[in-house]
Amino acid sequence: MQFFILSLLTSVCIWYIMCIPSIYNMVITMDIIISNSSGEAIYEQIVSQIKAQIMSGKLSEGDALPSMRALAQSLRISVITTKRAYEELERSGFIVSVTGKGSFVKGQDKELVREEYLRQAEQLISQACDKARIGGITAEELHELVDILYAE
Amino acid sequence: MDDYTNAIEIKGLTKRYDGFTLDNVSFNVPKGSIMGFIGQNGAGKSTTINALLGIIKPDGGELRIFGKDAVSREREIKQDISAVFDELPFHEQLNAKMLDKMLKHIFREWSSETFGRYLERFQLPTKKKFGQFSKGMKMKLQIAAALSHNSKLLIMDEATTGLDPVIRSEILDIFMEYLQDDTHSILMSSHITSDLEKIADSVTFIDKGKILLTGFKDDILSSHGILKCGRSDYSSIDRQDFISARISDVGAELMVSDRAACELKYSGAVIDNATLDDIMVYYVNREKKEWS
Amino acid sequence: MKGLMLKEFYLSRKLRIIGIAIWFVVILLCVLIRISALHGNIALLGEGSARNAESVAWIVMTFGNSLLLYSMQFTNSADADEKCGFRVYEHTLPLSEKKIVGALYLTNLCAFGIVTAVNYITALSACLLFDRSFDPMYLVYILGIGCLAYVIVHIKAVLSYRFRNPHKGQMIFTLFCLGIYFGGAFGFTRWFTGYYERFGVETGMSETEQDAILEAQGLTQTMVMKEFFTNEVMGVVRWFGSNAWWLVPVVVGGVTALCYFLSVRGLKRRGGRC
Repeated sequence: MQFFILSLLTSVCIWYIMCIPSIYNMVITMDIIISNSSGEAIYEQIVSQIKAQIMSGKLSEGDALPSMRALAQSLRISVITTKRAYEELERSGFIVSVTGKGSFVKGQDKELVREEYLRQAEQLISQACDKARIGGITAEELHELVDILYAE
Repeated sequence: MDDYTNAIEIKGLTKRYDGFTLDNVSFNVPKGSIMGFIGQNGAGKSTTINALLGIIKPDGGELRIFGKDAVSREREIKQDISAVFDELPFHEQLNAKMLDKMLKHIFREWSSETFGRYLERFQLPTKKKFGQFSKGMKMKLQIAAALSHNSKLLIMDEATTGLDPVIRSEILDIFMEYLQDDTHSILMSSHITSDLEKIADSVTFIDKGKILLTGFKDDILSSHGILKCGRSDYSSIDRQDFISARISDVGAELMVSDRAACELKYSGAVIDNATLDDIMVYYVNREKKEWS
Repeated sequence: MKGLMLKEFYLSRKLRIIGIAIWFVVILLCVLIRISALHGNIALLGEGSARNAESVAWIVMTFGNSLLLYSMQFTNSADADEKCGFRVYEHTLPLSEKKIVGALYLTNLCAFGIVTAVNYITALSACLLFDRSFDPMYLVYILGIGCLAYVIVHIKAVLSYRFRNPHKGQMIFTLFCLGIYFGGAFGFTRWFTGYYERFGVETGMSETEQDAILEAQGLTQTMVMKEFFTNEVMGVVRWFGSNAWWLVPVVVGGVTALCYFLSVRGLKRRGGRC
């Protein structure tokens, strides 16, 4: 009889202990600022802001993101939009969603982070190239520009 | 018609009820324009309109319509005013033909042809009793009657509330037609701020019996904005610079009334356009200052 | 004002048709009764019953019909106006309160004239139909019924114009009517018992005692009652009819004018919709 009660108490304690990390992680400060006039789709804005905060270290590995519904309520947007944002983040490897528990920031593989920055740089360079072509600036002139700016 | 600049001039209108006071309400509706009158339910829109139409007697203040005193020259002015209400104010047993015969003897400039043409345009049956009309038909009938006696001022109290978007679009077109004559003016109170954003020239915002904003709609919309920032940044914003702020778990949204100044002062911050709805919601919470 | 009178006309259409229908049916029934009394089944019942049936029919056709028509043909749309919001709309029209109220009163005045004319013709026809002599006093009685209905309708109208909530007006009106009814009943009972006391009958006595006292004078209860009506009540009516008949139009006119001014004032004080 006593053995039974003891084992019951122990399992309850273990369950509590296991829950503590998630409770501890629930209090995170994350800011999302949605602009209606930026031209970018709302889910894209959410994705890029969360990515930026993860890469800058504001959000650490294991931090619990608000649930899709909670985020939708805070931003007063549709839950479909927040779901899409979280799915995109998971696809890019920035978060991991555990059913029943929520979404958490994934440990950032240095390689993945580098990939992401490379991708963003590529986007920006592509834009620079477009402008250069329109302005009649040659590729050599662009190379020079890159060398100067990189050295700063 | 005499020469006047403002179709409606309200100065210091006051009316006291148990539990509600219309406090020093003042605004003008310029001739040839359309004024949107917005405010919460119970804010005083209907009371103001009733006072203007002589349905209730104000405790104080001056009311002028077409430049004339609205109280002493009431009967004369009312030949040129049309009122449209949210509910059809005619008995259910009457029909359009009877109404035509009735109003012919009441308005000096009633035109049965014009009325008939509007009935045709709105596809309203002339012999059907009003009790059998749908909501949209009832509103169209009121408008047909309102536009058939060459009125110079159209006053509408929540007339488009409850109508479907298609009918509302038709009705807005008719108002634009009415305003083609620049001696015609419209005062309309409405909750459907999207309609007002489309066609209103000026907007007046009343809350709890006090006028909070009145002026040209474009000016009001361009000078207001919603500043969005993170919660840590929020604490660094001067409390006098915004009307009220909505705080959420993921940020703060603030209504600012001088957008240009804020763009300079808090450069780099996201400032979105504000709709009339936003303006209403944030102003109503101005005393709370922070809400969610 | 003409526009609003048209409104009254249109709104009372249903009641008008019903009134005409009932009037027609009543006349038809009376004609049938007359025919039956002369040649049909009622004649078979015997002289007395036939005469009684005819009397009842005659009274119904002359007075009952007029009562019906008077009670139905006066419009009081003030309550309906209030209910559907027309009262508020009226305020936006270029009409003064005097004209608004005047439309109702004028419509009722015209109705009074027309219905009275119809009733007079009906009364004349009734007398011709039932082979009775025509007493011009009948016209006065019919007019009296009409005046009563006319005044009552306008008293109600005053309340309808004054109060935005129709229930309040109706309640006050009901209390008023109850007051008049009980006051009248009380007064009438006093009069009646006063008459009885002339025969030595007092209120405290039981039925058998009363019968005994009356028998001693060669009378029965019914005889006394009949005499009361024919002598006392009709006496007063006849005196009134010959001496003070002019009082009726004066009173009616005065009360109506008073109601008109009270209605206008009540309408002004009514205030707007909340």
